[in-house]
Amino acid sequence: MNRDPLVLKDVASIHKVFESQVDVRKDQVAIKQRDHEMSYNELNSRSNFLANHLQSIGVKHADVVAVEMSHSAKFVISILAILKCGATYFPIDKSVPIKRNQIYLQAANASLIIARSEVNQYHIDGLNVLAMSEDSLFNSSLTEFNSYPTSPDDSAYVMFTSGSTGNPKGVLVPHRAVTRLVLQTNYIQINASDRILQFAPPSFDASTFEFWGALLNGAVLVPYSGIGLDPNLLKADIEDNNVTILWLTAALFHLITDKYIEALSPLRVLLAGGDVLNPKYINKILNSFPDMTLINGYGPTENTTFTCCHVMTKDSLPLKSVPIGKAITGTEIHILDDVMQPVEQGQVGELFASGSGVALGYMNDMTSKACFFRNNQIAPGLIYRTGDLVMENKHGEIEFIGRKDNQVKIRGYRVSLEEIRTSIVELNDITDALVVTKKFESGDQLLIAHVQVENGFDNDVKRLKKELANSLPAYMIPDKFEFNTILPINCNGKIDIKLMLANLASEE
Amino acid sequence: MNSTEISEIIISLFKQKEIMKDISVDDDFFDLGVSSLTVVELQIVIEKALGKSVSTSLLMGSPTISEWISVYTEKMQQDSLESNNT
Repeated sequence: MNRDPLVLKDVASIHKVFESQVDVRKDQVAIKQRDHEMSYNELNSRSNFLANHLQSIGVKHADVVAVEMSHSAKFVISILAILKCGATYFPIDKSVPIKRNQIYLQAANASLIIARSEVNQYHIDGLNVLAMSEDSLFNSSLTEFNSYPTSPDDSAYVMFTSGSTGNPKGVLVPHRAVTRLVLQTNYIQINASDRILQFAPPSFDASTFEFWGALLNGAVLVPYSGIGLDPNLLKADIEDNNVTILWLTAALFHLITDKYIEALSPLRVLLAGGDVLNPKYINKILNSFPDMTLINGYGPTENTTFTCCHVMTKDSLPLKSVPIGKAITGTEIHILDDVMQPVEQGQVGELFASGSGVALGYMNDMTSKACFFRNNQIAPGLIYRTGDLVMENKHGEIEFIGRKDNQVKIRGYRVSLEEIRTSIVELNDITDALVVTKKFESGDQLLIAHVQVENGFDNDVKRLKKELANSLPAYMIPDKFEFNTILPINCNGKIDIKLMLANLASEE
Repeated sequence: MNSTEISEIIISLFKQKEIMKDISVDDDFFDLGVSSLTVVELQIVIEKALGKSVSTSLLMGSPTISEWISVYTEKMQQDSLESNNT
């Protein structure tokens, strides 16, 4: 059997690719956290030991095992052990209210949770608890373990997303989707000399890129040493561990680049996304660090972390907007109109994704045909409908236009609120914005922009409107501007539109 | 830097944020709907002005201007004691 880790892409499971890296890397460092280092051999034999224990307590192929802990080597040992049993891992976020996690655990039908303490605070029948405080389970070694011959189409993990209808849905992601994300791809080359900070909450799918981007490429994974966001710890972790690759959500990328850019200086590659990126900050960082590569990573969890990526260097700075770029290797994209026909270049359509990144479906709603469906005229295999509106520009790059459900009709025109927002954020002295419509008793509907401004901004609405008229038709210029608003950010670092709208409603 | 200067700097930086304009020193700013990202932003600008850093979790656990003033004042005093001892 060919043991080159890279050629195992598409034909092997995550843990088989990892094990072939172990054969190559042996005593090279796999995990580095503060003063602790763990080699590939050690990480493998520790996860073998835990896998063997999990098997002995009944964990088997296709079981779901929840893992409730923060950034640590123990987390990595746990998810590797779960995969080696042929089971599916399910990262639990401790900061989410217990009630919500209870709903998730039941929806995912988890049989075991690897938890911080042995007390079962979730009170779910049939959910067993294994405490991570049992150190001997995590630091004992087992050289040989016959890991499960998982098929690339079997599920590797489950993560919950809000879904467009508001009900949380468990996305079931297969092994092939993960290997396609990090091995031999077109947007990044991860080398054995790279060090990737594991900074995203493990329950957020950017962590897929961090864990497996490092461990399937023979690189070093550096678990973040804090729990919540702490800018000093972030900077120290990057510096002290020579981190070369980092992912940040858009809002955090904007903040750090604006106020604390020196923290990012050692990086070779910075990935940012999850929301629309402001070209102002991309220009700032690439001009400050001319050797850095910046990648705008776009994609719903349902198509496994990234669907499209746009790679930028100081020689390819973005102008008005930041494209989401091109489909990553293994993913095909289709821009379709309302009757599922391809639109022409330059026309706006809805983005559909096919290929090996598409998830298996929603765990608690496998019959949901609206988002996941088959249609051989578009592409073979399962297709995911993103609900995002995009356009292919004249350079063949995809531009993000907005959410399909964020389109409104105002004064007879079809308007994308996201497009208005993009134009506002481009203006000087504005750091973020949210555009909403508001209906009045008179039947009038107004466009209202909530803007977050720089210090010392003079709140000159006339000037704002005039400047916007340079980029927007008159019907798209907001009627009202609200400056006394801070835009709420949700746990994934995106603007929390639901909370925002709820706040607005309660003000009335 | 004495404690009056420290508190003046901290208050002035808070007041530069639109959402903090009308805040009094004992208001819990999470009650105002301030996001944790805004808290971190204030931390960064204050630490640049003071040249001192403390942990974000300590600041998040002390969500009023007056508590932040004592956190940073203590940190200043501690550091100057340590440098006097060496």
